[in-house]
Amino acid sequence: MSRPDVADRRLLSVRDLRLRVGGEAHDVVRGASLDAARGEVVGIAGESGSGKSLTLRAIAGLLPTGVTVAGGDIEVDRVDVVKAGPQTLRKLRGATVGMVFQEPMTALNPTMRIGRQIAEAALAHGDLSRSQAKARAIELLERVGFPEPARRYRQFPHQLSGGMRQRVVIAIALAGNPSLLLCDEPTTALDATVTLRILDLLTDLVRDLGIGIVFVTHDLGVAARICDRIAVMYAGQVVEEGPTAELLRRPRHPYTLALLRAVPTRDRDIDGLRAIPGNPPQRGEELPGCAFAPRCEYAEPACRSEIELVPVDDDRSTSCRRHSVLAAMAGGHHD
Amino acid sequence: MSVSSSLSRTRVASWYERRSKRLRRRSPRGADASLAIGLVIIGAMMLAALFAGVLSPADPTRQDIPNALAPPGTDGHLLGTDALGRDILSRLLYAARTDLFVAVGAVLLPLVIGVAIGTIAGYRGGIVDRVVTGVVNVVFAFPVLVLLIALVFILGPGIPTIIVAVTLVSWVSYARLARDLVRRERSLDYVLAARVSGLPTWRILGRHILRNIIAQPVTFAMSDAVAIILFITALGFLGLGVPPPAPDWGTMIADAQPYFTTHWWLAVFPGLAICAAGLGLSLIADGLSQKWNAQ
Repeated sequence: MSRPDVADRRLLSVRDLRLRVGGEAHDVVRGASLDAARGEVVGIAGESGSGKSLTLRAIAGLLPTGVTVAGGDIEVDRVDVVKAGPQTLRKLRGATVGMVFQEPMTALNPTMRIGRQIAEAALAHGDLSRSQAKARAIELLERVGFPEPARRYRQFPHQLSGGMRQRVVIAIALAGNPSLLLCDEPTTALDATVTLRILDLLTDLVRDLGIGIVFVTHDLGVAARICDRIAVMYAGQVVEEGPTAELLRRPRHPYTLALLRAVPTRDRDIDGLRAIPGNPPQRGEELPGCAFAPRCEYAEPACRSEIELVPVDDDRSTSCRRHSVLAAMAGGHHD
Repeated sequence: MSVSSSLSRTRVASWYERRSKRLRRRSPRGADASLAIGLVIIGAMMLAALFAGVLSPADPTRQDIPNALAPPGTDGHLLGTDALGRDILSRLLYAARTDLFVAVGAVLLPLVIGVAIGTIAGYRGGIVDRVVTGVVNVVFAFPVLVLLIALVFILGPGIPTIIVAVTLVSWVSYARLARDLVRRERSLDYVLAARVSGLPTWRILGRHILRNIIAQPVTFAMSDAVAIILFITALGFLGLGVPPPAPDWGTMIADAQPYFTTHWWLAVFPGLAICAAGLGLSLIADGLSQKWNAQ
């Protein structure tokens, strides 16, 4: 990728990742590639089942039982996650990689005070004493936007609102001073105003701490707000990748275009929404070539043969062989 | 932060408060009562057992044949004497010592061992889980009472034997319970969160998972204790229990067998003691489970 400026800030590199579920003979993630650098928010957008969450969990080395890496490389801060043993992984987690979950209620231990949960995560890595860990927890609570952090330290998760709980989850993820934060739909369970504030918090963290974020979401509006770059996933493949503004304004893949047309906006009445015809491929369905081709209005027979992510324009890539057609009509699509 | 959004947060917070208050009000009324009564009963019995030496009017093993089978209220024998003239009240108090001690030991050991094995099996999964589940199923398939009687025969009667025998059989209930709870718990996000913070496995198990699942095994242990007390008395009744002359409720009832129709107090008082212990433990179990369910 033509981004020499980020070479030294490179944090994460996923290459042709293939993930396989148990005994099944096909892959659920089929060659996903992704990069992230310090100070950058990279979004993975896609619908349910597109493999975005599994990709994220693979980066933390936390695949659910039964899911295995069938091919490809994942490198986090120069550590090969795929080949790493349990000890290396344990050191990597928390200290290099932190994770924020979708549902903040279940991501917190209901029987432990929130401060203790943060302090514990801090203790797992740094050589802190108990009192230092407590001080660190209070500092983190303040960092994620808790007024009166010392008092809040003693509260239980059920005493907090959803947004505050998510802030605690973020504080836990930050406790080990990670350089990469993995966010798995962190705002999906929150209402709109709270979502905006959590996004602002994450943006601040990127700016102040210089961390990198990989942000999984199915909500293009959220992605547009926080991500510097977006990778769009469909049926286990990254179909398009590029800087957020460019990608949303001039999509170079029909799936991205279709997604954008399905987003309700203020000046578009309900008839203006265009549902994507057909259904995503079933698990195990044979997918020669482009997985989106059966639903694509631009598809031609050649789309059913092998495809790959190819660079287009500056700094972007798409897997659509007909991207130039989209580029030609790009002037017609504005939000 | 804007005014409207901080308002909505207060609203959410107060909703939570109201809800938790309502929960607190609704549930534990009855739970607290049964817990309190149970604790009073068991506490009183434990104190009585502890101070048996002070409270007993007589030596529980001293025979006094001329005064045998004295009815309750006889001078110096509040609850009467048995066929060998031993004071029944004293024997009851000392028997509480034996029976409660055995019950505690025979509950704690299987609880600790079973929960430990079950937790590891549930968390690890795979081959470990399959082996543990297999063993558990095999032990479960045996009729418990028959297996226990066989073990007591092999190991010989005595208090340690009873505890070992009960442990060998009943750890499986705890193991199965803990395993299922842990398997459900380990896929929850907070366990994943603990793993992704790089916490060591023993810490995840001890601090996070165990804390969230321990209520059920403990509640089960309380009701299990009832069964164990009944079981010890059954063993005593069958002559496999605590060897004489040490007193034990079951043996007392067994010894009273020839006199059931003529001298009721020999069997009734130890029977009442067993009932009280069982009732007390059941009430505690009931209160605990209600309290924990409410949370």
